[in-house]
Amino acid sequence: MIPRAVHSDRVRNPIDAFVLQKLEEKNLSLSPEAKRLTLLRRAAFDLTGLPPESAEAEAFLTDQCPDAYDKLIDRLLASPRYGERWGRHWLDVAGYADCEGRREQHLPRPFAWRYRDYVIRAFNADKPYDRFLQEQLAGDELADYEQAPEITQEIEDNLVATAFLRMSPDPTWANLTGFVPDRIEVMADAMDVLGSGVMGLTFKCARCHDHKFDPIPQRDYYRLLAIFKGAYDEHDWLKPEINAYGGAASAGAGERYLPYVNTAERQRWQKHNAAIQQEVDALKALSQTTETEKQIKALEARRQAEPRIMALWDRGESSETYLYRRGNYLTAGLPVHPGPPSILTDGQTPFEIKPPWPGAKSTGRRLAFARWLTQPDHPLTARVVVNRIWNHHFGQGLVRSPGNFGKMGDEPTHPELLDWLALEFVREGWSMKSMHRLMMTSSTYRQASAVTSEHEQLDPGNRLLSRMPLRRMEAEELRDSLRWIAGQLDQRSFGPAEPIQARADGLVLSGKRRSIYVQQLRKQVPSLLESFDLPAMNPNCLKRSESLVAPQALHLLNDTAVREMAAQFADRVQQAVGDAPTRQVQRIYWSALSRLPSAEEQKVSLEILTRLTEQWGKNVDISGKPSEKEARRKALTTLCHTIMNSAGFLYID
Amino acid sequence: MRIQSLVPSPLALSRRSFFKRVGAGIQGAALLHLYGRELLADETQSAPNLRPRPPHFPGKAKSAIHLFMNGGPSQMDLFDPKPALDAHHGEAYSNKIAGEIENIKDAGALMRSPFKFARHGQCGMWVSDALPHLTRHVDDIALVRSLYTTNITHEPAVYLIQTGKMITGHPTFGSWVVYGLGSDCQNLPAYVVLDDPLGLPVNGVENWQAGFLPPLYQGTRFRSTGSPVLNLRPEVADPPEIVKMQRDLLSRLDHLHKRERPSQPRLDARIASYELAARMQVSATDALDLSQENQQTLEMYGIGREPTDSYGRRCLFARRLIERGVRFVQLYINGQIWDNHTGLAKDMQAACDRTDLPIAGLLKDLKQRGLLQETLVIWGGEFGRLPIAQLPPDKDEKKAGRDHNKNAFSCWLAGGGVKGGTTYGATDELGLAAVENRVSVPDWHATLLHLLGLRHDELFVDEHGLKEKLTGVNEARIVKEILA
Repeated sequence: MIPRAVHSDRVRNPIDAFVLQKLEEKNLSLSPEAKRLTLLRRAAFDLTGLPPESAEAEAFLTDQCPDAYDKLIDRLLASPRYGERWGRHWLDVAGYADCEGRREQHLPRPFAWRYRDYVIRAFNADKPYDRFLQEQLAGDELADYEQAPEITQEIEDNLVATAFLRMSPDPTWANLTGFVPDRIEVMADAMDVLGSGVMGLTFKCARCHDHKFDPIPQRDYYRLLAIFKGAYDEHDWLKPEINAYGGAASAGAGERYLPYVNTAERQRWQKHNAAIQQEVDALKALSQTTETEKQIKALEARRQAEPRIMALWDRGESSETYLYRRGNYLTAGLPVHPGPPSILTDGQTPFEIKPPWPGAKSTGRRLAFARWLTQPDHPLTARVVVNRIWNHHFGQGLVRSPGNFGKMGDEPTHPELLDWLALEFVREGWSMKSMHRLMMTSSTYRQASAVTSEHEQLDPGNRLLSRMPLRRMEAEELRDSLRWIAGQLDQRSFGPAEPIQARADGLVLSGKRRSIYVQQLRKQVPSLLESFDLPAMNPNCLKRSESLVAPQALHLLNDTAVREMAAQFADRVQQAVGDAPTRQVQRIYWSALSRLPSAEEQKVSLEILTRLTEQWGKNVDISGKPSEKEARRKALTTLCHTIMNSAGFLYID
Repeated sequence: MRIQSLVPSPLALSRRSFFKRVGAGIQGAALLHLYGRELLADETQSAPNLRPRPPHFPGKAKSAIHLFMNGGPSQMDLFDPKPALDAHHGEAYSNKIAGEIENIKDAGALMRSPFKFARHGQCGMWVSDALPHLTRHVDDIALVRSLYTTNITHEPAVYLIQTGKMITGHPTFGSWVVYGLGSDCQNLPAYVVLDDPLGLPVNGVENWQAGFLPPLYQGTRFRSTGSPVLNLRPEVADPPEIVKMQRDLLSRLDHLHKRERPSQPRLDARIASYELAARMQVSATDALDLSQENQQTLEMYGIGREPTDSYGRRCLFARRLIERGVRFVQLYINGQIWDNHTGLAKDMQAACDRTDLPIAGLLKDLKQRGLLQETLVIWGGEFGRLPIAQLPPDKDEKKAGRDHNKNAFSCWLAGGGVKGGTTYGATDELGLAAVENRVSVPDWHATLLHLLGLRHDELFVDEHGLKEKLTGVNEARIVKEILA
């Protein structure tokens, strides 16, 4: 079943055999291997979303062992930055946002960040994908959190994971948009995310009528919906908590927020507030003066809000689910029972639903579904995720419509390879990291990205994978890398989101943390990220677009924050290598592009650096004529700023 | 996404030979106009772009100006005279339409219009005396009196008229237009929003969002004062010699980078995008530079005096942008000046006073410059108002206004492809509901697209397997009766 390739010397693993087979049918072969530093940069961005660290680069370059590259991949996979990069891909699928949406005012989701952190940790820990899905679809039915003597991290994670099903834009907290049809929209979005993101099926088409192209009768849509009714019931609805409007600090006992954070965290919180209470009590025992009142006020301000979890949980019973004719809830048809899409079952094995544990206050429907979805031989689950991983590494999926494996989706370019990868994925215990390793160590991944005239003629769309694609950094990669090379990236992980700042003129500024930790609001997207195609989550995004427009250039050239970073980058370069221009240019290239300049690049850069220094020296402004040092600094800043704008920086080979 | 299907077939000249012939630098950028379609029309990388695309069929209008009247202008006080209201003034009626009233406790009796209607123009169109300036242009206008919508709350109704859906997350009409047609002007954004410096309308920036379309199809806000586009210039400008050196350096480094990577059209397009950015700095500033206009023109728009100065400027900016090839310009007024729940006589007149002269000036100016025949001007809000009074808390009838009405509202079109002097559709005798030749929001959208040469059922994007369209899944009718 693994084909034999003619160019067997290029076969590092079965991926290459499958790819070569197709290439050889057209008398093509794989492109030559990319340069070592190209591979280093490509792999680092793919796995961490940042340029390689210099220590990493040195380790890789000095390692003469034949498996130096394999070890590089292992090190990158072990980096905590990996989860921040790949977690973001999953947040695209889930449609992550820190606010509800669909109203003039966007209600904050004060605890959504726990889900974001859960996803990052799951990727870093290489949580098996079957378990990852089970937790997100039915975490509340995996363990009895109400009766547990202690809330372990695992129990907390189970609950936090279910926020996956709460990511739909949700206006139901407001009186005018909290009615049954609004609720049904929220559920429909959740079904859309699940269907397209996890199952690769366009379920939403079957909401109003039988699917026109795929064998999904309308009944199946409502059978799927019925699975979620124990938790998502339009006639028994938990609203997002309005008291939480002011954000985390004032979050009250929200109906959608569970108190089951792990016992250690809860105790820390209790202890913190108890200590404050004690001090307050002591002060209150004294005679009251303005001074004691002030102290009490100060103490009260330090009280922490109760830690809570944004979750979705089954409540043990649900209203009946009816098929809605034309998708209209006012024209209910026959009642349906919960069950998976009929086309994906053998038609014989019953879909067995039972309470997850004896006496459970839970229908067990979603757990049954999650187990069904993650059976090793499920025809879609592994294929869809393997295709998504491939898409992020190779620029296109083997199926180029990652959310639609149906008839109207794209035919797979390499169907046998997709099958083989899906099987391999399950064989390797649904391990994402094993899949990265397999794909990234293939000769296919290690190819150069140069396009030859042969490619143009025989494989213009690169459907045969005759080379690696050249790609532009994604929005977050760009923002994080700019900060990184300027030494302005706050690398602290996890916790509540870093607030954005919306200026009156429309510019939205972000802070210093990695983009995944920047507050994700639907209406106020940091301008840099938005210019470079950060998608809106409506309800989610399965494939990002890469636009190329002049405002991107305007932003990188003129934005104050970018220009400040250029100055900071220049100062770092100067501090590291001093004033020798040659070493400065080399350092700039090494930091920003992970390579040294070519002789010509060096010549051009040095020449202009000299002229820039002269020119800045002549430039008299309000503070007078600049010192020689100041002129040099400004010239170096201009050079750094130019590199931050250059194609060599923005594009990854 | 099926954006590919909208990318025109590459020109006969192949990409390779094109770039072989065209040298580096400004020459390439100048030719971008001519070969704009080619530059990225790589079947492998059908990146979303704003290059001009042919319409589905030759439309009469090439571009559009949308004068969005947020708040819900009152049809029976502007365009839809109701003598029956004079006859039944003061009669109780609210119990018959209780389900249609947002603020039921404030509902008063039937209320006649405080404005006087007369026939105007050759066509004899009825317009109230609240709009004295517009009356001179009725022969260029097609008025639709029979629009209706589906929600009496601002947010969903605004979403609906802007995006075809009552919920957020869908592309606005303007986004669909630039998605379908691209832009004839690469030096300026394809879809420009001129919002009021006093504040944003209901739903804020969502009024020009691209929804699930790529973000480059969303509207770009042009500010009326200061730098028109975000980051058009640095806050502290470098000396011109430095700017030139930096550009030179960037261009040389990018060309070295490109030389190592032949046959990557994206890299050529990127170099061009930097050249375009440089030109946009000039064009955007130039487009908003009203010192180039003579005094007569400024007066025509009411610029330089109150209360018309602000909206007049935006109207004149709109003409200047359209003149330069911008595809879609959208004008807003702060808050909801048409939301006259109380004080109709005074407040609606104030709304008219701010906008009437500028809009009349715009129509006149477009016409005298020969631009009106290929520009579609769209006037309207999200819903209409009720024939009964809405009373203030002290129940003082002199301060009465009107509550929201989803069952009838009036909008008008002028310009390319529009049959001027037409009055289409009718409401019942009280103006409560559209009864004759009813026009739904999808019908309205389909008609607007038609005027721009786009078929509403062919303009779609594949979103999770569904062909998402502006007009949705229901049938939409082009209102042929108002077309020239």
